[in-house]
Amino acid sequence: MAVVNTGHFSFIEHTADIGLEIKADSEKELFQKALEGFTALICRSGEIRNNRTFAINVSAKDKGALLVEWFNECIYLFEIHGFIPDRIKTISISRLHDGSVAIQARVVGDTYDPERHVLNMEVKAATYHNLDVDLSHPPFTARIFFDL
Amino acid sequence: MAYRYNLSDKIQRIDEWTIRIPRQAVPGMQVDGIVFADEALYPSLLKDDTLSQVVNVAMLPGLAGPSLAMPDAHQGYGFCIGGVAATNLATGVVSAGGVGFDINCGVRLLASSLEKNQVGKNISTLIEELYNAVPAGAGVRGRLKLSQRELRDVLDRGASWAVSAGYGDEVDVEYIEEQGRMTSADPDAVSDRAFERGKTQVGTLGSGNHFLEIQYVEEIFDPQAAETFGLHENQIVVLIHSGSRGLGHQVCSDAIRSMDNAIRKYGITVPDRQLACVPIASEEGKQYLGAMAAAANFAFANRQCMTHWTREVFTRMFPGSSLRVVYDVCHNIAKIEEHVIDGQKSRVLVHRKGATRAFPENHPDIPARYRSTGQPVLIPGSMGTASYVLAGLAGAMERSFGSCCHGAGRLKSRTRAKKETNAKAVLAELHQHGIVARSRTREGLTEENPSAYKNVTDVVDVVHHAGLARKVAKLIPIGVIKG
Repeated sequence: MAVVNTGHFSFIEHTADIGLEIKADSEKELFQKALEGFTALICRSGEIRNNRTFAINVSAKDKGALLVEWFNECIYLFEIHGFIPDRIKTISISRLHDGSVAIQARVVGDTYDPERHVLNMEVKAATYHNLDVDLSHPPFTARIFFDL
Repeated sequence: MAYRYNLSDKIQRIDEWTIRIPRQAVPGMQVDGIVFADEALYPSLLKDDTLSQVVNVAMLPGLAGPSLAMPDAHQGYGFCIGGVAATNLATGVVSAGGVGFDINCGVRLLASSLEKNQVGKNISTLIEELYNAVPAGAGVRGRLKLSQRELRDVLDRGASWAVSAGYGDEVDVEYIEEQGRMTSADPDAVSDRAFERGKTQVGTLGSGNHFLEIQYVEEIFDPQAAETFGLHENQIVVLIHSGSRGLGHQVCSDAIRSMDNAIRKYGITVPDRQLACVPIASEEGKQYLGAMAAAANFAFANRQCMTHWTREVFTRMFPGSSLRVVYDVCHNIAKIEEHVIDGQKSRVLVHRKGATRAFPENHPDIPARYRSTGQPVLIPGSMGTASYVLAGLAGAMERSFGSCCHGAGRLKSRTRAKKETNAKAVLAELHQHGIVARSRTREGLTEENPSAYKNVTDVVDVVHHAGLARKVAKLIPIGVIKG
């Protein structure tokens, strides 16, 4: 995929940082759009090839925190492995016995290559500030802010 | 969801430099909010959620005094940027969001033995050489790849590790806040993932608002203090702004998750989830403070390594020249300090989120050389504009838990800043002012263009007149490296 704003998500202005708003018809689609938003945030241009797969397995006490963990895993994979995510290959979202929620996913994407990719900015972390995730019924919505 | 309050009819002006949000303004406030802002800066505080965030912090349990905002304050996440809050050690909390993701993001000032005219036309080459010597920008790895054991040593010993590894002089650490090492650091409290992120990042500038600038001293306001700090007109200086990089970001993310999970157990509720906090004496609190101090040590070592490589470039280009550390200050930190509260000396945990310590003369925690002046307070301006050196004053101990502003303070979002200009125009404008700039990305220039920030002189004038710190010197950039 080329890194463009697909219209599947929108960025929210914030004095210090930046936010991301996502609307989707399913949970899987919401996390897919979250990936696309993340990639648009870190990478200004360049073709994203599907030549690498990473597992993202995270859990949290609720779905808001789960989205924070999802992004923080993406930040970690980019920083350590140069992984630029493109799309979800498989995903399973489940509720655990203790009431927490978990994602098991396999994500395909590219490895950052300065010859092919132009980076936008470094994302330090996903935050809980003004975090709002509503997965009660479609359209599913999420709003999250990042520290840059 | 975080709350936004209508405070317009509740705010009281105390004096020309200070406003108060009384604790009665919003149910749940435990203390007043105090904001340092004159009539010129005040309107910018109404454009975003800064004041609501001051109110939210005033709701935290066990506060030892008002929820404070410095004149460079702007909306953050949880705490405002420019926020200061002190909590009682026995009844208070520690909030990882009250320190922020870039733990011990800070600045270091190096005073050179060179005059402005000695650098002259060599500035372009100097910036190019420094750009090659000091890794900068997103996705850029550092020159060092440390083993687990070496990184553990960094987390334990901070700047002293760097000096013993050959990056700097022993005297450097005397002129770093905490002598470049927080002794409360607990490397065992730092997660494997944070270790992994830190291994290749010691000695890297990073991106965003981080920078390395070559400046000269344009004006001296306080000749005696300037002489003590070793500064004089037309002297070339170097200002380095960076933090704890991915290691610090991970320590903060780990702690916010831990605090968010534990908060209910302690019966604490907060108006913004990013304010998640736990009692200082709790297991989660102790773990965070140990890990935070370790990340702070990483940042001290980080700035120390970049100092060494900067010196190498100067020595190569200007044989016989020297660069002395004037001071190195933290902007994002939580520290246990002694303050006088209700007439009694008390030890409290001071959270500084985008604020600088500003201890006055005779304070035992500042270097002996500066005991007659107060500590140097380093206030970088926005890219291409002035920076200031101030000296801490007793007023800071009385009014702001020994704290002061930390920069110009953002006015516009990065998105808006980018929309309003382009890299070519920013470079041309800098060139017009005689400033050479080098950046890894065009965003590094456009997002940080000066119009995105408040006027640093207005900000510094407020802390000067409010008696938190006094102006000593004004610095003007001639070369800028951005991430």
